[in-house]
Amino acid sequence: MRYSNYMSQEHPLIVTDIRKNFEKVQAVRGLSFTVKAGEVLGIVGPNGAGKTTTIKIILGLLEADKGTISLFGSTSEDLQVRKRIGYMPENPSFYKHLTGRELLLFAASLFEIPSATAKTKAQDLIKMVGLSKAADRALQGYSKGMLQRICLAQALINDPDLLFLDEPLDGLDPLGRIQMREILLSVKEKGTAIVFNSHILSDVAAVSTHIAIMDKGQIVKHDTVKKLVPAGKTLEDVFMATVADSKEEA
Amino acid sequence: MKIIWSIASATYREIIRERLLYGIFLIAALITGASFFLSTISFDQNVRVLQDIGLASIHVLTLFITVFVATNSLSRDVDRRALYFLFPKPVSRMHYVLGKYVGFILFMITTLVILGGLFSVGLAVIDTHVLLAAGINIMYSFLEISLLLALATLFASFTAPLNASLYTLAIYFVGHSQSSLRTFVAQLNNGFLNAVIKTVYYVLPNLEKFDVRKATLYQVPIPHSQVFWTLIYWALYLAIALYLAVLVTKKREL
Repeated sequence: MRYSNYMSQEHPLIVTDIRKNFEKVQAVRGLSFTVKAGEVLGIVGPNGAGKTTTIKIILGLLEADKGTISLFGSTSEDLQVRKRIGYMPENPSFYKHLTGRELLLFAASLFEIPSATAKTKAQDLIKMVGLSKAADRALQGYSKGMLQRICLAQALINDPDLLFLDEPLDGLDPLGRIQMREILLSVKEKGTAIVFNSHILSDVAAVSTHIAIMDKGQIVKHDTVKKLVPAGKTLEDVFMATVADSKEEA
Repeated sequence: MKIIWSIASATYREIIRERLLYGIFLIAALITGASFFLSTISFDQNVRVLQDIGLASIHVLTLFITVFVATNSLSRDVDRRALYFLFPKPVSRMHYVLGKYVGFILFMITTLVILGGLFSVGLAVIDTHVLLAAGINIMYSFLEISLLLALATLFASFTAPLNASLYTLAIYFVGHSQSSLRTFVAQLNNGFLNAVIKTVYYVLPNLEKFDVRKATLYQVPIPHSQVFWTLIYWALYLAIALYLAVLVTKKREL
């Protein structure tokens, strides 16, 4: 399905009624939402809620059984569209013999970024994620937190208009989490739309403009942070109440 | 093209940093040493013995090493989530398959250069006239192993690395026995078996086309037309195997 130019410019991401089953398990059940430019959508939910599966379907890593996804008015099959997307997967470990810098230059080459620009961009990102000292060491020597940082850097190498982050705060120490939050806020300031999921609810509330609470493959609540989390309450309170309600209904 | 080359170069770097090359150097030195030793026990044909054993060993070792490395590299990309790094970027499944394949070819060339180079140095000490024949043999080894690597890439796209390696090696053995099998089955006078072997003959690669070791050892000239048709056969088979690998990879969910 192709969306009108106006609609797709306004909303880089439009998800309509996607469904995905893994044999008898309904991983995603009729999910619909949109993300506007400059919007940060934080997806929260218990383990197995379908958060990662949703991101994988949007990116074309998994095929939906039903439903449509519009990325900038096209689909994830479109390589030109993918030039505008950044993705940070969960628990990255990929090329263990490459150095952090080599990984970034490799990522840049896949976007066909000219070599000189790529080197400058890689250096800037290495500095931004705080890996200047480790940049020329092989990834196999990186800690989990360092891998998270370099993985975020590779997701930003193309200055994406739409950024997907799967558990970006996982494995980071408190300082790392603060830095990651600051980076995400600076990316958001540039007008990049961000979709991310995390179990660290305080960070989700601090970074997001919108929050979707998922449970059993469905979005059970989706709204702006201000509307979803009333004054005097925390996202944790809302989350616990929502998931408890969802369990009772089931 | 740039994307394919980027993936190839990353694949190659990942492989050669595995410390596997140190092992290959050691094996190469052992083979060369063993070939020289064996050549001394032959009376008047030491160069021929050296050439025969050395070239066969280089061929088989390169095949085993590269097939094992290739199938494991493809499987590791899944285990280490490298595909999650690649596919959300402007990388098609075709870019990926061809990039990996070119990376394997670069590694195979490195292996052939190391093994063949050491062997040629040893050979040159005894008789420089046979160097050209050794070179021709290594070129044919390149053709055959590159074809088998395309099949290994295809198998690794849908099965575990050990299975993919075993299937490829099974094709290697069957591919080198096709004429003998056909002759044997013809003597049995069994229509069904004949049909099966005929199908195998046309479906599986006939690797005997790439075996010129005896011809070069006994200095029998290889006709130009034979070289031409071998190259056409190689290119067609390679293209089909890689095309199928791309198709399977496109269907794969991550």
